Amino acid sequence: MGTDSITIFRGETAHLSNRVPVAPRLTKEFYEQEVAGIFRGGAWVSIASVQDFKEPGSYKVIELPTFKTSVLAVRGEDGELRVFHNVCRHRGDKLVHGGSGCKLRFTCGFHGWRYGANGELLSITDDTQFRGFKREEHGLLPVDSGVWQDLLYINLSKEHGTLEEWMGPLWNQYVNYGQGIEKVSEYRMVLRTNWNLAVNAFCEGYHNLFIHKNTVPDYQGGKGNPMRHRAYLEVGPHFGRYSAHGNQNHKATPAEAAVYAHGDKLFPWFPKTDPGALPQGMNPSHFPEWAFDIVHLFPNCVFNPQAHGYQYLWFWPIDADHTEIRVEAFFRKAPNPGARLAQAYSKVRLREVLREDLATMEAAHAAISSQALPYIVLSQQEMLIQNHYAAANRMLQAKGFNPPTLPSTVDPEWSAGVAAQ
Amino acid sequence: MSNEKSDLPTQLPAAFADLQPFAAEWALPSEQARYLKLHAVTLDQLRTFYEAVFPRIDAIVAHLNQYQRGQLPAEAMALYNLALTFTETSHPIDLRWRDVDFDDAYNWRAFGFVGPSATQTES
Repeated sequence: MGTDSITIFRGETAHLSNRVPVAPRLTKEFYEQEVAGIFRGGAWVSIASVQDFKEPGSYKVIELPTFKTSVLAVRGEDGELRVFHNVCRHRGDKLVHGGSGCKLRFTCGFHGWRYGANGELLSITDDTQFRGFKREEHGLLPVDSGVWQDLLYINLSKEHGTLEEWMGPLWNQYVNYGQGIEKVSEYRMVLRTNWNLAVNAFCEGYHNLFIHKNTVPDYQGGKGNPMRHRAYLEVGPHFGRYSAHGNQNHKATPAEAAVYAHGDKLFPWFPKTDPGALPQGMNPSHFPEWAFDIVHLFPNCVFNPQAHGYQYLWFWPIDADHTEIRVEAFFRKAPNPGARLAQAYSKVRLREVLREDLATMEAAHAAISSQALPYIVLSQQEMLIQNHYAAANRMLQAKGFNPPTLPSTVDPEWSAGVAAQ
Repeated sequence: MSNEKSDLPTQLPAAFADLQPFAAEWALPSEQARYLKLHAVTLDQLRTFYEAVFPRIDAIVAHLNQYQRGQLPAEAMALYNLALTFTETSHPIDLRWRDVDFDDAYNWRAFGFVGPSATQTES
């Protein structure tokens, strides 16, 4: 394997398996292990773009179904972005009931307790009736948080390392990718599927030749690459990423050509761009016919950088059978209203591609839950999925759990060859 | 709901009088409103709108680009919303779908719009 492909493989692959028994991973019991061993077992999870917190007082309530909790993220007067449990210290009412906005004081609707944007309890009502009460001991409860470039992360595990350790080699490779960017779209939906299957659907490009024929029939591939193999594919401890091959013979549809005539060519049209102008981590192999990267930020986020913007897809497990999917798309700030029209065209093509992807995962969940399938089989092009399960297994095993595995059928010499690169 | 139709500008600039008959129905403020419109019309109705706007795109972009972003007067805003509806509903015609939606797409009614997708698209 490997000689019949354009793909450059990188990373430690010896521990991966191309056969994964998925059905046992869809049970309620296994899901509880995943929450304990992964989400509360040390993982840093991203929850929002920092674009949502532009100025002092910018706040957003973020519901986290996986943790059965709600957090309040807010930028303080000192410029610091903090995350708190969204709960009043008095009797546990939800402090801010939802949404986002800009304010520096938060008042609980239940009894009027008032907090500052730095979490400090500023005042309580009828204070003479709280005997021996110390205001300074009852600020909002902080959540461990950190920022990686454009992403706000939290960690709800009792014991964990730093965000920098968690990000590993990605930490320094995407400097300033979120500069000069604005959000153009945001979608949410709850699907009847397990979160693993939802993440997996966005971590391989093998499907695009088949699934995306209605929306973007010719956006990927090119001469000598009929199966649209990834140009570059890398796996790491908490990430996997690949580069897609942009078809240089893409035929723009009439409206696409018309709205892109006056500015940048955007998705699904990928003219050659200078790889040296991008952050180091984007198009890591400097593939000349680059379309975009898919970066799986384990466990539950997929980051999709392109030359003119990026998307995040978050997959929030609700239970073993339901996942809330949140999608946000960003473009470089448009110079004029005409460029906004071009971006609107692109975001809708992306949205319709997304609707094709979403159509697969409920059926797969139902089919795999039937227990008929002993394991799923994964190609080399689906290595990010192999890596997802390996990363999960490593964390689960560290907590004493015993996730189901099957040995790989990939020749160990192949993995040794990749490791030697 | 964020899409208050009553506040919407629908009077187009005089140079676009030919598109005025479409404005009340198609100059829609948000991605969500435009998506709901797409799924509420027939392919023939969509084609009629598409064929009216398509030859005017260059002129529309030239008109809008006279203004700074965020500074569009009401008539230009109506034109902007109309042009956004064109760009965001053109794909079924462009891609030669047999309907305004396609087989094997995720149920359009279950697709949720929030944030900038649910409010007036900034110019």
